[in-house]
Amino acid sequence: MGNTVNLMDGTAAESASSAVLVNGLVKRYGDMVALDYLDLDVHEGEIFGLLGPNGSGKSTAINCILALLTYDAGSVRVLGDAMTPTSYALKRRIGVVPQNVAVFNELSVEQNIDYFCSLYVKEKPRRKALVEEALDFVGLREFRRFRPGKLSGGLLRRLNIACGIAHQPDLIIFDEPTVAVDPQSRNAILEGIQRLNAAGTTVIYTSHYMEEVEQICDRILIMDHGRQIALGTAQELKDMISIGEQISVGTLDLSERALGDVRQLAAVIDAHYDGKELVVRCGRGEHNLIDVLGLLEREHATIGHIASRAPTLNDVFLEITGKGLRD
Amino acid sequence: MWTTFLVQIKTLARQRGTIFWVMVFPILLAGLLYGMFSSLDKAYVTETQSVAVVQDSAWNTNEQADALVDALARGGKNTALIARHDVESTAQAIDLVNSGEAIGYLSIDSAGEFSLAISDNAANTSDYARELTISVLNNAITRANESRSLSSSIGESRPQAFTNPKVIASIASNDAFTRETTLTHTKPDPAARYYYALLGMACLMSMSLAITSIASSQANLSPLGARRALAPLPKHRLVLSAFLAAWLMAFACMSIAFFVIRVPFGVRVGGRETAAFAGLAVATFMSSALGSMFGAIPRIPLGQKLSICSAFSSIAALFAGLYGEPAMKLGDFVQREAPVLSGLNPARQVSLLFYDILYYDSYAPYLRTVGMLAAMGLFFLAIAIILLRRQRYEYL
Repeated sequence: MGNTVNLMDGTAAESASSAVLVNGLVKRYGDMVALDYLDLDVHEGEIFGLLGPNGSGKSTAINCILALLTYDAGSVRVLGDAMTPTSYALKRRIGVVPQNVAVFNELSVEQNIDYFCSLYVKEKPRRKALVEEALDFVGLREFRRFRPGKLSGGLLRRLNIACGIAHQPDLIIFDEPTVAVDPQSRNAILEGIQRLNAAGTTVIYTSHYMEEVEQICDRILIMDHGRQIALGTAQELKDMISIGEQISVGTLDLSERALGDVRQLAAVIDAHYDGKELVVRCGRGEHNLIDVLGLLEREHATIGHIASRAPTLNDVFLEITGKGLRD
Repeated sequence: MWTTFLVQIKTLARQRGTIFWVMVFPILLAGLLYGMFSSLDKAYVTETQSVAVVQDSAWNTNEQADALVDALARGGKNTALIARHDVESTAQAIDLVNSGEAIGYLSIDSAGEFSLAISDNAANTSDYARELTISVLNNAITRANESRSLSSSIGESRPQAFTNPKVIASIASNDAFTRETTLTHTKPDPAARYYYALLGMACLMSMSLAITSIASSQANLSPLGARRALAPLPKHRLVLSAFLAAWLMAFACMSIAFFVIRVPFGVRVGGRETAAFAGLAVATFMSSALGSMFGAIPRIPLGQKLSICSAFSSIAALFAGLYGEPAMKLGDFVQREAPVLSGLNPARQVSLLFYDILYYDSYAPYLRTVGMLAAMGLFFLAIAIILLRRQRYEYL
């Protein structure tokens, strides 16, 4: 991509491919610091994930980037230009899907999409085609005459998305678009975002659902308390931590001695047994599962089910901050 | 901007709750007032009353008696004051009154004066028209007795005065005692004030249109406002569209409400309908500006703003006299004792607007009220602009 991200001194340097470049962004609400010298460099053509628990500053960062909120320090450049409330040419190239559904309840699905598209595209024939494409994209064609009040939560979210993307912008910001959405609609939304990205659109995706971010994002920035705590691909982030995998073994007759032996294994970080299931957190290593199972076999423990889980972004967050993403 | 304006109109027109309070509710209330106050019209109308005339010997010796009764009974239905029932004695007259065929009887007493006896039922009537007619009859009879007494006095003291035609004319004339004059542009309508107060309240209720319209255009007031603020549309156009759409809708709703009050319910504006509609345009400008000001206040949820709007409209309407005679007296009291405070009540100003149209010959009071409403509107709008001028916010 040709960009340079200097995490050592906490600043992001602009490269030719930066879609969004944020340097040292500070936002305070009275004594509370919402953004604490946040740096961000979103590359053109990527899906960039902003991951963090509720209240970590994701939406505040987005609103500062979009020049809706004032900020105390820092700079924001979007698609190569400084972003201000009157950057109309720039705004024309940006689409936003806000966290809260923001549509007119008095207009039909089609009228809503057409209206929001009309704020960006004046030519009616072109707009008509764009509205049709947006309807197809979110799968709301059969609901085009419905008012929002008649739609389910998932369909409403899809309408919210359609209103943000209909004008086919170069950069789309999705702010927690899957909150309170059923799994089917969630998958449809995530697939849609990937299709948009495949067509060349740069995407910023904020969420506190690590599975979603891991599933679709090229790079992920983990935030907490308004600060960047880690940045990289999902694999790079997982590689940053010492935890390798978590092994769960269903067993009803594990002795205290056997549990002690498990804890003594070289790669094991800790092990817990509740009388039904043994849970072992391991460090990095290629033979953790074999080593644990071999030991249990030698101790003649009766084994029910076995499961091994690779480290998740929650583990990354847990190791860095000492708490889970959903705490 | 045009598309935004049209969409704003469309969305406001489809907000059933808002339209109900701004247009349907005033019409329903007007229907209620119509039912309550329709009898008030009779307070200013006479109605022919059946009266027995005792044509006994005293009557027959009075040369002016039949002339008086003929004058009172002259005219058609409801323009004549009495429908005479001639009887020969007081006893027959009392029978007629007791049977309900007459409200009283007219006779000449022992002193030779006209006397009108009215039944208790008729004297204590709650029928405004009957009450007014009896009052007029009493005045006419008193006047006739006074004329007769005056003539007798002149005849006894200066009989030669009767040779002067001017003296005779002045005795027969009412000019010395009463003078007919017109104080108002049109005939008074006692119920009209209530309808005007109702229009004042409805006008204030219409500010809810501007409140919702502005809230949906401002990033710090609603998610919808935030989304629209991100579009490449200059903010002043967005806000102007919202304001104009709210104003137009308020004017349309008020015009319909006024039309219903004017035509089916027959509330008059003295043939000055054009002035009434022009006044409505200014009044709704004021209410839309007030709504924009309310709507622009940050950190108060939309629902609370609408509740404040309803409460404010109801209280302002109280001092405009909407809720009956006590409220009307209260409004008049505040007007007398604290005219500045009363003048600042937008509902009273709107009410006054129609009052000016109906009663004053000159348009000057109307134009003064229009000017006052316009000034209020500009003041509210200026505050709204100050509140709405920000493009970036501390909080969302």
